[in-house]
Amino acid sequence: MIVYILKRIGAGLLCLVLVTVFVFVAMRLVPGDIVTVQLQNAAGVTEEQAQALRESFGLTEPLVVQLWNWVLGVLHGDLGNSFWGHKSVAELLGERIPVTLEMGAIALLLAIVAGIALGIVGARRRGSWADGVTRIGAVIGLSVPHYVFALLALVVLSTAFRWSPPLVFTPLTEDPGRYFQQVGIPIVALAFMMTAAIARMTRSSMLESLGAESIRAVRARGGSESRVLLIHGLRNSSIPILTLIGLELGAVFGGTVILEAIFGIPGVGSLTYEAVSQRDYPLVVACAMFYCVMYVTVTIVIDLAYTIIDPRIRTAGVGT
Amino acid sequence: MSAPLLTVQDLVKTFALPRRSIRGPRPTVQAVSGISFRLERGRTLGLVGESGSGKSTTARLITGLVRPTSGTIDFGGVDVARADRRQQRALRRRMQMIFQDPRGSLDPRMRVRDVIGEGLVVHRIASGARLRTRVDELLEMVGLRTGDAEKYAHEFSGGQAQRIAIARALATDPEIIVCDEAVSALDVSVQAQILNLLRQLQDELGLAYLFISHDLNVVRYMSDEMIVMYLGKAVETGPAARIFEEPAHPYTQALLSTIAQDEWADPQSATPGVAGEIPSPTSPPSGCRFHTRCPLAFDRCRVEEPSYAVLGEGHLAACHLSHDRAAIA
Amino acid sequence: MTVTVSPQQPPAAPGGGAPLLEVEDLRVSFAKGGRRLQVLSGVSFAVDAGETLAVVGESGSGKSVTALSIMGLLGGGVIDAGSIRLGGRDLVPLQRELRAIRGRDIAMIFQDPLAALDPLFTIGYQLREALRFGGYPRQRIRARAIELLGSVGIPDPERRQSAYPHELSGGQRQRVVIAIAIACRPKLIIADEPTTALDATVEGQILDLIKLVQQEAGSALLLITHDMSVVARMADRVLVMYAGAVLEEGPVREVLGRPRHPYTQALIAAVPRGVDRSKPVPTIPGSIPSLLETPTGCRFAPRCPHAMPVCAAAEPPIFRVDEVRASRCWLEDEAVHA
Repeated sequence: MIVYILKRIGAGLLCLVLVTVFVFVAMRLVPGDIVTVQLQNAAGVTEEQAQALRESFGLTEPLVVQLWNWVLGVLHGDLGNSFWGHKSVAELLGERIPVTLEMGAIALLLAIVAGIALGIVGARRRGSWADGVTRIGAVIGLSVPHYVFALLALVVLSTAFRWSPPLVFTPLTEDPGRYFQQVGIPIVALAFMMTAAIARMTRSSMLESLGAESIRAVRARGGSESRVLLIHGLRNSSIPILTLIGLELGAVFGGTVILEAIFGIPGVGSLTYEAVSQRDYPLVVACAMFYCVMYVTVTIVIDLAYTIIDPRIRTAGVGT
Repeated sequence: MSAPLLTVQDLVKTFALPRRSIRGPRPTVQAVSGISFRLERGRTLGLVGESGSGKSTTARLITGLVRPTSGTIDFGGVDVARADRRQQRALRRRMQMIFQDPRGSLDPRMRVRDVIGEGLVVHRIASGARLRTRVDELLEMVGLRTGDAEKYAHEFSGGQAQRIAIARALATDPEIIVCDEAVSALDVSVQAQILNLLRQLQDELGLAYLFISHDLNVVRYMSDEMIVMYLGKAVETGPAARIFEEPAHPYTQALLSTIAQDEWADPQSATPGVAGEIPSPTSPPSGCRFHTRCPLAFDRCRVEEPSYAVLGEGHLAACHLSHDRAAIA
Repeated sequence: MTVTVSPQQPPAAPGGGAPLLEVEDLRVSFAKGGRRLQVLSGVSFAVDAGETLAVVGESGSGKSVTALSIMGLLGGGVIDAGSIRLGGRDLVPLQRELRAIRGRDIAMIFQDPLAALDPLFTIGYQLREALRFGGYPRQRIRARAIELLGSVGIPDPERRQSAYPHELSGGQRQRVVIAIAIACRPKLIIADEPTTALDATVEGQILDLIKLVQQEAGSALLLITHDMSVVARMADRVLVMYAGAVLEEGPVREVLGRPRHPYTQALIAAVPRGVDRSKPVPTIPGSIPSLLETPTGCRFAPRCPHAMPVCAAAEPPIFRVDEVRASRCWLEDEAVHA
């Protein structure tokens, strides 16, 4: 068991390293850098002055040296300073992380509850109108990108109800009403897509599990339909659903970038968006690290969840 | 008596298991622990055993699907175990296999014609019109109609599907056919038909069979010679009729008591079965592997693994008690 | 000398008194691809309290469907007609209420214990579940579960009850399935091929165990199997089924020793027991009719060595040969012989 966890963590660290290096290098290959952005509109700046500025950011060194210096910094716990304003990257991230996590968590919870419920209904009442509606809804949810959905919702709500969301952020704890006015649409947009995927997977997984002999045996013992469904059926279907949730979370994180930017939410997503546009290399790399850590953590948690749910995965050896 | 087609000597197969802890050696299970036998032209060798006996692994070793850990498999002068790819291909032509699940072993997306003809195509034996003729020939040989060639495998019943599998096996003109529980999944009446077909083909074509089954009635009918396996070891070998008549090893005796002939007339005479469960192959008992369940076990059995006692006419039994019998005989 | 009875009525089960289970003219069909396929076409039999009735047949005989119909676990199948009386009460119209009866009055032992136990829950949990469904007093469930495990031969039951199904051997799993079945002392146990998935040396142990628990609980046993030797070992009476109908019925010793119906004779002969190796095994020519075929006349006639013109024309009714034996064959009808 310990071996298993250690292996997973090792793989996660490797993943982190690879992603970070990739982002580090890729950003520098993208045309333009902080200097061109900063000095865009300034007239009369000479080439030497531009180069001098670059040097101050360490951008004139060879790529490998830059990478090495950065790695040394990270190993000492220093993520660097933002090129734009020289604030500590760690500090900037720290402010933004709770916001994104909150939003993501609410969306995820919503999606899991709604998705599984709809999936069970679909499996139970296969062929009914409820099932049909769910399946069509699922297709829509999977086909429409979340930002398109969000923008459409925005357009519809503003034209029909003459309403627009607040653009200044209020934390959930301060004023839930205003919080949800601003964050509501992006959360629903994120949740809609995940619900669709989860509902479909739940439905098909449940249909498969419910056909198993062991389910018939539970009925033979005198088990009620709800027990069969919710306790035995759901548990037996849960592994593919969990896998899917893990994969969908990647989409959630990706979604936060654009949605936060559109709706003015001060989370890691909008920070990433700004950082990329401004070619703020240290910040971009740090944001990428955040997403990577989140993703890896979720994956490991789900892997552990597998072992809790299915005892056969725990004792992954030869059975008698 | 011709030279044996296949000679197997001291065959061993050990599988490695997934690691449980970081330290220490990797756990292993020895599925087959030193099997030796001979297969002769036109004869059937029956291989009997329960789960964990290693009979399926033996089948896979013989056909080259799995590489042995040690031991030799001599097929016409070539050691199957050490053959290179080209040699293996040539050997596959001469040795075919029929499996337990008739429909599972046929590709549901292929037409019967293609299923049977695949071997001919792969080994470049025939093509075009000759291929068609040969396929029709094979269908007739197994009792199907030539019209069936255009159908898909899933359209047939279990028994018919097994006939298709037999036709497929015969396509390359093999010398040996390994039947791995070939009739176990069939209804009794269908089983009888398939057994008759197999016997008939053996007489006509001089085929040698390695017939693996857990069903002793079937083994008795089919086999000339027989091996009884338990936890990877051959506990008794010899002429089948002799073993059924006078089983020497307590395990064989226990197995045979489950098909006692007079049981049908009077259930009271049914002898009590064997106690206990088959031990896990990952940790076989010390000494004689059967001692934990043997009603006749004594001290020596726990400690020392018995060697084969020669009981005459090629009949061997791995039991300490049999040595005494052999001494007297 | 035969007594021809109306086709619906089965021969009286021995022992006198009202039988525990009475199935009368049961007809079951499945829908497939827009068509209705007849799986059972008028099955009738009775089981007395405490007796063991074996139902023997090959695939397509309808033996498993019969068992599932009694339990109300048909899934896609529909009972078109007939009655299933347990202790006088007809179960057919009671589909919803059957939940209370399952586990309590009727219990089932399945063929593949690995498939019949939920792999995600411990055996102790599933056993306690069965007790809970059966209305056993809550405080004593835990203790009773351990007791039951011990009574079916699971060593060290207190510790083993937290084991998962895949951690046990095939034989032990089947013991657990048996324990679950007898947990509430059902009046009727239905065992569907209980030893087919087990090794030969374990089969005997499990059959003995089933006999033991049956006697202790005083239950009747409906034993579904394709294996005649299991019938010989376990049953008092036997029913031979073919393509959805009962073809022969009677005490085990008599049916196996002197089978009357040509199908039964052929079935017994087809097992290669002590068959002369130099001769082919006696087979039944042809194959089992598929569900899509709707035969007129006797369903076995196309394969029967004794077929007469009347066999193709009309399906024979059940002929009662004497008080305990019956055969669905025109050979039993003297009028035909004349």
